[in-house]
Amino acid sequence: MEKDWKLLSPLGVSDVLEGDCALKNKIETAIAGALDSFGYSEIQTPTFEYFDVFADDLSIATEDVIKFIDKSGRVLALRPDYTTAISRLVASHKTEAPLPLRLRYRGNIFRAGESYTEARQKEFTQAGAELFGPSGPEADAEVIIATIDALLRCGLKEFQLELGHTGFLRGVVDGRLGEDETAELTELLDKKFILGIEEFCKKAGLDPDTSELLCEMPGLYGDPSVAEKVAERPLSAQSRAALENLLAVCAAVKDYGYEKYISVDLGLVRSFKYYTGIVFKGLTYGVAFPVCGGGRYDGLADRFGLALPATGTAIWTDRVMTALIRQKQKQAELKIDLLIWYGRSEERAAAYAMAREQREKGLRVLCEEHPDFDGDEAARLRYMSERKILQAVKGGSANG
Amino acid sequence: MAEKYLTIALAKGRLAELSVEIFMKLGYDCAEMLTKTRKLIFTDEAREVRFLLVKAGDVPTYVEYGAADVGIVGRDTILEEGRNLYEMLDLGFGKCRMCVCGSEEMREKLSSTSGLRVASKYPEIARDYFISKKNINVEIIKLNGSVELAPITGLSEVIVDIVESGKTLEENGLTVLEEVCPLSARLIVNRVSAKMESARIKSLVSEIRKTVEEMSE
Repeated sequence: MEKDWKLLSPLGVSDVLEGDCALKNKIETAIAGALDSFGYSEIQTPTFEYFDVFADDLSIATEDVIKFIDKSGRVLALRPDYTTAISRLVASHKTEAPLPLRLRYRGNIFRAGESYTEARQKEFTQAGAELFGPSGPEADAEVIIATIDALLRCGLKEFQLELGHTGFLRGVVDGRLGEDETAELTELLDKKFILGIEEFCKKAGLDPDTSELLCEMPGLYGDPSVAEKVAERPLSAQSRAALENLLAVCAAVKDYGYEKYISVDLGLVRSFKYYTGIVFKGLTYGVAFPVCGGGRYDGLADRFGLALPATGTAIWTDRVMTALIRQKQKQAELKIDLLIWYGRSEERAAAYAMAREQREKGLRVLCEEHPDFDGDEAARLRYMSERKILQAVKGGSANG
Repeated sequence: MAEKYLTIALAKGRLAELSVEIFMKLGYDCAEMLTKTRKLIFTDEAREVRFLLVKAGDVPTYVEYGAADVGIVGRDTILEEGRNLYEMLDLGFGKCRMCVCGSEEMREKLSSTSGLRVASKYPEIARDYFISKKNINVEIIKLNGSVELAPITGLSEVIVDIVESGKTLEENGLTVLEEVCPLSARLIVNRVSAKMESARIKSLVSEIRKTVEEMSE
């Protein structure tokens, strides 16, 4: 028999059914509430825009962007990344806005992903915030604190945000590597593959001090004292400044009382190319991928003609949902509070009046015609249990 | 989560035997794995560690998804699976090489044959080597075993396969043409576990590193 394509979703996208959707909404509301409480205002960018906005590989590899062509032949792209889109929005509309500018968003991003491991999912839901203007450590700490707050409000209890700094590695190799070499080293560091790093250092002819530090980098993670210890060694000015900035951000997060949720990883390197300072990602049990990520991206708005320091965060809503389900912390329950039924259409007006009153009180109310319920209580009970209806009354009757 | 057992996935077969040796030296209760048993899961209650025996190709999958926190598997499998995980240690055993092999006359023609056909159990490694590294467009033919037959029967010009002693190659009239990369057993770690169980995993990694160094002395 031929496959009925009408009933299938394309690979990488899926329907979200009632239970999951309710949980997802709860999560989105929790995140929005948290970011709102930090003064971030919601904005929306179009689901697709000109590919030129995303075209320079700064955020996501060109081949991972889902593209199509409009009537005039221009290439359009489904939004692959919010940070780039919002930087564009700020450059389009907010050049005169008083700073700092605090914006938040929620919605979907789309990525093609070539290898099958990356292509498991093509549509993701994110919610996040961007802070434009200030460049001090308190700004980076603010988005990290807001992220922690959002994850807590979602119901996650055990999670870690690990913080790194793009300047540290840059300071270690200090312009001595070409673009290809840097990419190779970044990948080795990302996999914490020490042996590969050793070989790489020999091949690239790096001096013994640099090689030693690079080989140690995969192990340089844990509480912020790891970074303090590294700061005691001889380092380039850039690496030292990076460590100081990292520690300053950690100190600010500590002042808010959230130190138990953060750790540092100096080997945290693989992120979007637009990051220029602090970078972070959040991990929890039950999901193999980060539930959130972000960092400082001072040069990105510049691409759209606006020199503006910025830092931001993105929470992967569906991964938070997976984590909550796997950690069994939340079960979505969709119940109907009240069924108001009537037997004959003459009774409808009374039933409607009653339903209207209960709905205005905020209850989830069904109002339906069920002539058979009058004499058949079993049928009514079966109907209620199948649809998770808590209570039923006959419309117009006094005992509502 | 309530359950705090550290789960270690081992690749069934010789690698598992060698791995068990290491864990026994470290004082783990896992001798049962060396007996003839059909069990796939073994627990050291005292140390709160659980060992899983899975097919080599599945070890990176278990570790990536966090069904296992740590795994021991050959580098060939890691490269072929291309999973998102930390590769933390070279355990030094199970040493061999991934090679391009064929008849001697193919040595000259390797870069000049158009429509070269490459048979392999490792299509991703073969593709990465020829297409990304050498920039030659080749046709990759996935096989599941006895790969040496492919050049003999004319199914392909060359193969990409693991070479240990080179004996099987020799007996089938084939020779190593190029080395793709050296291989050995590796310790891999789930990215989330490495951070959420940072202390336990760091100490496990350093224990294993010490034992492996002592054993190789």
